[in-house]
Parts: sequence; structure tokens; C-alpha cells
Amino acid sequence: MKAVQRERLAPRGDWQAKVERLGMDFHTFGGQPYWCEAACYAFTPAEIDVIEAATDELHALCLEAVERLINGGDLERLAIPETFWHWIAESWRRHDPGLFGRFDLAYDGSAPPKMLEYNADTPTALLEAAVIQWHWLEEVRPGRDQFNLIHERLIDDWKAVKARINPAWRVYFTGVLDEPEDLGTVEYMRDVCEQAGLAGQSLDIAEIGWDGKDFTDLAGRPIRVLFKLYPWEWLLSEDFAPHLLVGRTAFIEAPWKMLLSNKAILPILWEMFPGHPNLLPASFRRSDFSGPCVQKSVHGREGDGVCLLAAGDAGSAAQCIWQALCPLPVFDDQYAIIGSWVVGNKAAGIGIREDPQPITGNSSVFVPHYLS
Amino acid sequence: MDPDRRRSLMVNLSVLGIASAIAIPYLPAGAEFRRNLYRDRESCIRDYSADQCEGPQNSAGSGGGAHGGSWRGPRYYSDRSLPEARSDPGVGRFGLSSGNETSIRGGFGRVGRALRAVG
Repeated sequence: MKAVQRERLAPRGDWQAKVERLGMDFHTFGGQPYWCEAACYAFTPAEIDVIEAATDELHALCLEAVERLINGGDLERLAIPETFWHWIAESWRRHDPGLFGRFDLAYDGSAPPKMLEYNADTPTALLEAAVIQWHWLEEVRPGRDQFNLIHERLIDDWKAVKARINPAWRVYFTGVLDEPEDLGTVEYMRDVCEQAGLAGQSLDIAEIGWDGKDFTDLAGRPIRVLFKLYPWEWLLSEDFAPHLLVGRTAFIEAPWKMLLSNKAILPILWEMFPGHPNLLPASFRRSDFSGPCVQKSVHGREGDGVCLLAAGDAGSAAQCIWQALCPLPVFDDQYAIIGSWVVGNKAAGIGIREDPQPITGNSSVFVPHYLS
Repeated sequence: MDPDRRRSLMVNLSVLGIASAIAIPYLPAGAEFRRNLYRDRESCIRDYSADQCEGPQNSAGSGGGAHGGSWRGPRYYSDRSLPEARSDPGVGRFGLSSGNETSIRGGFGRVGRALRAVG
């Protein structure tokens, strides 16, 4: 019997209006709720302790892996253009800030949590985890607790950024802002930044200018600090990419975070820490797995580029890695995955996504949780 | 902080809720823009209008840059033959500017928009 419990319950009658008031107007996709409060997950405090410890441990392993990659000077296996290797290394050596990230974990409450991947660059489902489920708890499970320190840790994070920069500088927030989910995440980050005492301004990724010396806003002002909800691998492939090497903008997340959001970190971690209880065997060679396994594109996002390979299926060789199959636990016919947040280099909370299919994708629903 | 507490004490928001009001202009990839620079506000207003002129930038923004002391007119496309240039503010009525500054936009965002378009 699984220890983690999935409970069915009646959604609040006006839940759409309630979450919209909190900035979540992307609660429904294709007529189906994305924010799903027809169910919730109950964890024991001991289970949360296990998730928290695993998250802290995995983050520490990841930082160790970055150190080794930087010192080794070879990022070819991560399919990162060599032009940017030194620039990435410099961002690590300067301790450029990485504010947040989200591990995707497989955990059923019994076996140790297993790391499926680390969304260390552009993690989404942030507003849902930090805000929406917190307010859900207040109303639906008053008096109960929840593993969710994300909001106050983010404010602390931005205060730390403020201490490192000219506090009069405006912090810019960018992404593909005509996408409601991206806009919601970007605006939430701007919100916590402003609560930390910094001025923030949003602009679409296409609105960023280059004046020959600096990236600029629409008024031509230099952008000194830029929070981007836009993957590094995309930025590195676009027309302005060469300006990254000479511009003065400080990026959040920092360039070195792209080493961790890359799926190639999975086999690298397994090479460094073979047999670690929170890692799955992973390799740059399909032939290292005799049976079924999971193929992942090194730059894949939100389930894109992930496929389950049967025994004997060779898969594709182009910019992919392979990982041991670790089926997600199933509750009421739903595959559930835990998004475990790291904020300020510490485990900060969780969010649950579930899907009737074994691969979590962009349309997998978000389900709140509480501590039983 | 209560050492047993596992959730934020308060989750208050200040700016959310206005997010959906943001409108994204179409920007051709690699589009070059200009802004005229003026020694004084009056010259700028004569070329454009008071609403379209912006005063000298101060350090409270992100730094003034090379032309921090100038008044600026609105942004317009450098290439006046582009269809998009027909609806921009133009080069100014009387050509009273003391110079201009250029910037290129649309150099980021291509991959994101392409993938979203097919997603």
C-alpha cells in the first residue's frame, strides 16, 4: 500500500474566480482544468522530511557536478557551443545568482525519491505551487500545514540580489509574454522582487534591444539585471547570442544554470555518483541498457523529446541521453510526479502534477497537497 | 520562525492581476530603430508632441548611457520603406534633432515563438 494518499474532494464552487484573483488566468486548457482541486495529496511529515532531504542532497550533487564540468572545461557532451564555454565558466566563478529550480521526482512514499530531471533554468508551475495551493490550503484545509516556503524564500532571494547590485537599478522581467502561463510566472517573479524592495519592469523577449554596448529596454535604457523565463539554449541559438559575450547585463538565472537544466547532467551525475539512492542509472549510450529505458533529448522541455523505449528499440542518437525506466506512482489511474522546489539553495516546497499518461507534459494537471 | 512550520507565513501579492493587460507589439527580427535626440524639450515637442517626448534619463533607471542629458523623441523604424514604418511616429516634423540613437530589436524570441506556434 502506498503511504502517500490521494484524496478526492469537491472543488470550491467559484474556484476559477478565486485563482484568477491571484493572477492565475491559465487555470483551464482546452476546456479541462489545469488547476485541479477535485483531488489533493496528503503527505505525512516524515515523507516530507524524506523529500526535503533528497532535494537538498540532489542540489548539492548538482553543484558539485557543475564545479567538475567547469574545471574540466569540456561542455561538448552538453551540446553547448564552444564559443560560450568560457563565458559560462566565468558566471560560475563570479557566483552569479541562481534563484530557483525544480527537481522532478518519482516518489510513492516508500522507496527513496528518484531524480527524473532538474528544471534549473526556466521552471514553471511556480505560481501554482507558491501561491495558488497556499491559498487553497487556507480555505480548504485550514489549520493544516503544507510544504511550501517558496514565496517567502523567493523574497529572501531577491533581497540577497538587492544586496549585490545598485539598489536603484531596475530589474527587468522577460519571456514570451503573450503566453498566459509564462506571463503569470514572470509577473509573479516581478511581484516577489518588488516585495524585496527592487523596482521591476516586464518586457517581452522580442522587445529587448541592443544598442551596440548594452541590451536595452523599449526606452533605450540599459538593462543591467534581467530575469528571463526563456531557456538559455534558445538564447544561445538566436541572433543576439554574440552580444551575450560582451554585454553588461546580469542574467537570472545565471548562465551556469544551463548546465543543470540540460538532460546531459543525468548521465554525468550517474558517472560521478554511481549507485546513489536518489539517482537513476543514466548514460550517453543506449547500449548501456539491455531492457526498456527512457530516451530524453538533452534540450527537451516539459516532456518534449521524452519517449519510452522498449527492449530492442534503438531509439535516436542525436543529442539524446538514456535513463533507466522508473515508472511514476499511480493514484486513481493518475501518474503523479513531484516537483520539488529549490529556492536559495535549499529545498523550499513541492507541487504535484498528474496525468493519465506516464509522461508528464505541458497539459498535466496541477493538484494541491497538504500535510496529514 | 516556528521550526515546525513548513509553509510561508503570508502569501501576499502586489502587482499580479494586471498581467493580462500587456500587449505585445509585432517586431520583425533584427529590426533597427532610431530615437531622435534633442537639446531641449521645446525642439522635441515641435518635432513630435509633449506626450511623445521623454526627458533626460537619470540614474534611478538603469543608468543614463551616452546621451543621458538629452530629450528623446519616440522610437521609429530606421528603414522607412518597411510596411510597419507607416504606423510609427516617423522621423519628426521639422528635423530639429541634434542626433539620434539606434538600437536593434527582435534578436531574441525567435525560437520561443516558433515552438509555441506549433505546440
